[in-house]
Formats: sequence, structure tokens, C-alpha cells
Amino acid sequence: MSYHVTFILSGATGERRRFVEAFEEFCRTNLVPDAARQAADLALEEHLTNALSYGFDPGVAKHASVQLDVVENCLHVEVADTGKPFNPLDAPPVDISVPLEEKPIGGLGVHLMRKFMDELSYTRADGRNILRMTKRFAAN
Amino acid sequence: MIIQKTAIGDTHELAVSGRVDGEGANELEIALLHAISAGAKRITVDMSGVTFLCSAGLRALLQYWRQMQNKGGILQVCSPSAEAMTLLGTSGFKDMLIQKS
Repeated sequence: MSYHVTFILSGATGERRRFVEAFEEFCRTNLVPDAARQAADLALEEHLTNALSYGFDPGVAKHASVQLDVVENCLHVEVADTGKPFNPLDAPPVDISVPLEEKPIGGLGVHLMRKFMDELSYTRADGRNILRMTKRFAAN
Repeated sequence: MIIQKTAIGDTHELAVSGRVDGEGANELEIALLHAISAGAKRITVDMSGVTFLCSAGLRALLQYWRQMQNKGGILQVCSPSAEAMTLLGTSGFKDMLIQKS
């Protein structure tokens, strides 16, 4: 069986909090285990922050849609935004063994997305950045 | 997210609970900045109540950890929740951790 829902985001105040509540509700309803929900929650936080905070020039209306699907013990997440072309997967890998004194300040968000999600892919189509992420989980 | 602040002399503790997302990271940054402005030489961030931690929260910790180091002070994290510990470990931040006495 497949479960599907789409959310629209525009960067408005308070919107992200409401989105997280709706995301948690979707996961509860569809019996997504906590570990998979937490992983996708983190990946969404990282990617939406990048896309909505840095992907649009000043004065340009922000638009991102998040589509969630649960199919055969996989949580699929697709984020499509109309911002400037940006492939987060171009970011180089992060070496976490670098000591705190020398650790770069940036780049951790994509590192965490890679660590916590099982699959990530990016395409640019019809003027939109489309990031697809998958988290697999064991059947309840 | 809630930050409870206590200060004894120049030792400050920030007990953080809830969701340290982008917005929460801004609040944490402000609290750290206030502690430093108030003359803190040692700041302990208690993360036992943290239910979510993202890279923005880690960046705030790293930025002020460095600032404290440069001033001869200390910033440390104690008692991380399982969620916070996973993120600290995955990101190479374990050196910030101390055992709470």
C-alpha cells in the first residue's frame, strides 16, 4: 500500500514549525519508526533551510513543495523548489576527524543528509531543483 | 526550545531542551553570546533535554567554542540526550563533551 501527501512552503514565519508537526503526524499515521522519522526530519531541516534561506534572490517569491510517500517500508521524500540552480550533492565530503580548532564551519548539513538517509539524488527540471531522498526501515 | 540559564561566578550553565532547529540555533547563539558578554570563563551546555539537533546548532557550538578558546575560556557540552549524542558523534564533536561532576 502507498501513502502520499504534499506540503507547500513559502518561507513564511511559523510555517516550518507547522510543517514539522504535519510531517510527524504523517509518520505516525503511516507507522514510520522513530529512527527513520528522525533521519528524514533532520534531512528536511537541513535541505529546506538551505533552499529557502539561500536559494532565492531578494524580492523573489519563495516556493518549495515537499512530497512524502511511504511505499513498502521506505519513506520517500521529494523536495522541489523554484530557487536558483543548486545541487547540494556537489558539496565535498566532510572529514569528521579534523579537530575542532580546524573544523570548517560549513558543509555539515549535507554531510548529515548523506549520513542519515539511504539514497539521495538531485535533478534540475522545469526551472526547479528536485532532491529525492529515501529512508528504508524494518517492517513494524 | 527552552534554555534555562544559571551562573555561579564566571561559570555559566545553559540547560537546553527541545528542538534545536535553525530557529533554536539562533536562540542558543544569543544565549551563548549573552553568557560571554556577562564575563563567563566556563560555559557548560547541558543537552540532556535536546530532542533534535541540526547543523545550525552544531555551528553555533563550534563558533562559540572557538571564541571561548581564543579568550582562554572553556565551552563544553554535557549529558547529551541520545539524539544529541548521535549528531555530535556523527559530526566529530565528541571533543566538546565532558562528564558532569
